[in-house]
Amino acid sequence: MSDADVSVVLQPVGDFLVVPVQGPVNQELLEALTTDLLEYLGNHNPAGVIFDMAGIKVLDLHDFKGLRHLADTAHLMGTASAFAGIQPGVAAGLTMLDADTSWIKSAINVEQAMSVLQ
Amino acid sequence: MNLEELSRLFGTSEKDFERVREIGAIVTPDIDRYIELFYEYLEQALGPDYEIHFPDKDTLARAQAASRRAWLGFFEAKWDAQYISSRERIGEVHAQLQVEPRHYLAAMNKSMDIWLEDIYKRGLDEKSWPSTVASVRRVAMMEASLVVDVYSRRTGEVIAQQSRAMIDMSTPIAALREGVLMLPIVGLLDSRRAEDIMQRMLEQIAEKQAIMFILDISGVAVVDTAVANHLIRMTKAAQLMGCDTIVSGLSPSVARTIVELGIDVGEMRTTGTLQDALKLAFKRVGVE
Repeated sequence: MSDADVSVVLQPVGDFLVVPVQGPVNQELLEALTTDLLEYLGNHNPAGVIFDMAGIKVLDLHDFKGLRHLADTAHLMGTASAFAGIQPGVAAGLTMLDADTSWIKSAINVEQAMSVLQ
Repeated sequence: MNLEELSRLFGTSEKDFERVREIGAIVTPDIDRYIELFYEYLEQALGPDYEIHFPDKDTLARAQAASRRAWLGFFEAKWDAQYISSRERIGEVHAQLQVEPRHYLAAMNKSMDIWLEDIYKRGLDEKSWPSTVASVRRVAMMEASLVVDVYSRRTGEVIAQQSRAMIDMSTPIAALREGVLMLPIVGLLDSRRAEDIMQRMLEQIAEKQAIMFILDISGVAVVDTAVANHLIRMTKAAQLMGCDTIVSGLSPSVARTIVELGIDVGEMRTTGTLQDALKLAFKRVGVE
């Protein structure tokens, strides 16, 4: 179970699972996301997981690594994942920090993410 | 600006305001005459510019009324927030009328000369005169600082506006088709400009929901390691947002330089001509 003050939403859309990432990305949220996501993937078999990042305006390297773990977790369960709607400020910030972005599959919006994952 | 800060800067105290009020009691009955004298001086000092600033009687009358109000306010010496903002407004008006700060200061100086000389001739208490003049000067300077502050703030705003316009002009991002954006980069690409371009590029990608971005660098004069790194960075950031970038317009000599410098362009996709880039981009979005 996730904490009461951390909101995790899992939204099945067609064959996909859309996860809107909301609120500040921190250890607590990542923990809750991982728990709920694993539980879902254990019971269902979506064609892919799409993390909707449109609501995230700030992200540091540490949190970015946390997201990678999340993607890796999904991958281990045999599900590909993509990140949709990363904001300009976040993208600029991560590149300035020389973040390793080779692992990430991203798309401009959820719709595009679905075609990327197909 | 608040009074506390100003008082600390100019060393003014309630005593100064009192003295200004005292002298105000002598000056204000004759204020109309002083204003007249002042505008006579202006006519002389400004020469042909006088006509530009005061083209007709109405304008002149308005200006004189405003001067009168300003000085009456000065002699009341009620330095509250309202007074401070009223002085800032005076600065706004002068800046709008494009009165140079030096003209404003000269005018302030002359006004004070006019009435100070006049009332000195009437024979005021010799002993208290220096401290009175000092008080008047302190308060007047404090007032002038508010006005000049507005000038410089205005100038800063204008510069900011211009540099914004420059950024927009130097980054003409065009939407070619749904999902495809293009930006020709012309001239030198230094870090400052690269940062501006990247910011605009990412904003536009988000706004137009673009999935392909063509950076045409055929107009970039020199491509060296620094420029290549900027380009790689832009590509990476766009990629993170889910937008693929094609760098087009690499001349053979640029390609050669990049290889000779041993620059790792990574996954950056490049084409020789803009045409090839367009073909590639349109294929990606599903139009031939």
